[in-house]
Amino acid sequence: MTIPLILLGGIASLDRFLALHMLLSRPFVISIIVGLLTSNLTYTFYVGLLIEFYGIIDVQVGTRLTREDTFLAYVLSLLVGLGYITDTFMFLLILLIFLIIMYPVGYTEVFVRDLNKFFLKRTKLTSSKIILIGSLMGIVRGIILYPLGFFIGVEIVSYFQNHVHWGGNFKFYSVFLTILLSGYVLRLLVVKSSYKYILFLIGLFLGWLIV
Amino acid sequence: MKKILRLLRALFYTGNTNVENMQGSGFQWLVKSVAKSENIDISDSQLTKEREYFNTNPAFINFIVGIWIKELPSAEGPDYWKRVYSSAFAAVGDSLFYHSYRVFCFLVAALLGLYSPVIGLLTYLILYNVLYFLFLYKGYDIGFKYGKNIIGWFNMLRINEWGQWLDIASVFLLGILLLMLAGINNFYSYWHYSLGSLMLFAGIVFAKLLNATIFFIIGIISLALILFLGGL
Repeated sequence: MTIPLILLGGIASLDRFLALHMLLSRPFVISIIVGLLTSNLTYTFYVGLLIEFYGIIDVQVGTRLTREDTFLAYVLSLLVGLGYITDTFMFLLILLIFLIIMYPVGYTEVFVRDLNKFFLKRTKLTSSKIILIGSLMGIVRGIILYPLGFFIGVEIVSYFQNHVHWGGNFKFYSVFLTILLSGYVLRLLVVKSSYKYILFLIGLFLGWLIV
Repeated sequence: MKKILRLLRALFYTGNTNVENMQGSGFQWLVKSVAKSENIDISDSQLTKEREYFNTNPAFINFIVGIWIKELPSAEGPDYWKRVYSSAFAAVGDSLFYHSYRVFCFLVAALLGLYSPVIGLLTYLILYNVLYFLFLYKGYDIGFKYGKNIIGWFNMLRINEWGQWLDIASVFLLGILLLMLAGINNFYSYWHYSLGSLMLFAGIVFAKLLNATIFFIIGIISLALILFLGGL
């Protein structure tokens, strides 16, 4: 299980900003795959749903760096999947801490781009070779940083587990945080305001009928 | 086989993305490989030039390679049309694939995922990648067939309107998803509906005013306070 999880980190990092672009780096995908690998699909699904709602509003345009939601989903799902996070307090605490750690991790994308520029300007390698080097750097970045994030998460959980214990099932909070972020998704969608809210209400009503 | 190889190369052509020439190295690599497989003679000086700045949406890359090859003998030269279409496809592609289509695919996948996460995962990947792979697979041939007139083909498909329709569908799906998310977890009480409505309202209001991360952090802390004060 360890090797597939490490490889998943590498592929997700590659897909995120260098190659493939097949959604393999999306939080929803990462969390469900981690859930399958750790046999804890029910909870990791809700983690993926929450972080996807957070990440999907950040649209990749040009050279702009998007939030490292892949890293956030990978670490959180793994901690949940392997049973390190079981109570609500720990879930909220780890989410909060990794929302901040996510920024320096995301900044390593700039470092990889700078290395790509170095290989382009300072070497006489062919395009195919510098593309291969760039892709490998993307994979290595994920293989190192994503599991490292998990180990940092384990240390934080171990420290706080001995001091604080709050709340039970965190699914409740995950669902309500998802609802909180859905306002941002609604704003992102470009539909004339009046139609948007009418359609949204019809959707809510239909959802209510279904359940 | 040639088409499949073109598709696979297109998946990796952004591997050297950097702020200097963006995807220029990848474009040169793709042009070189097409010239080799189709026995097209391209001068070394022309090929060297193709390593300069280039940027577009990855889904549209093979259209541009096709146009470039087709317009090689044209009076304006292939680079003129490459510049025209790379920026146009970057705008259309980012808006369609990253803004509208991805959200739509996710909402469909999330709805199905409530019943089976694995079906949700497969739906997300298949639904999105069918269109993405189709563009990569057929892009070169269509780009080569229409050349500089490809805009007519895209206008015929009304590609600019796809995003609007997808956004309309997404708004509707988002409503269904939120209610089902609450319902499937048995959050039926007035307390749940009140809290859910408050969360939704706060999200809609603050989406205009605050950065998502700051708002998310405030939301987490507020919920932790509710947890603490509620003695949960």
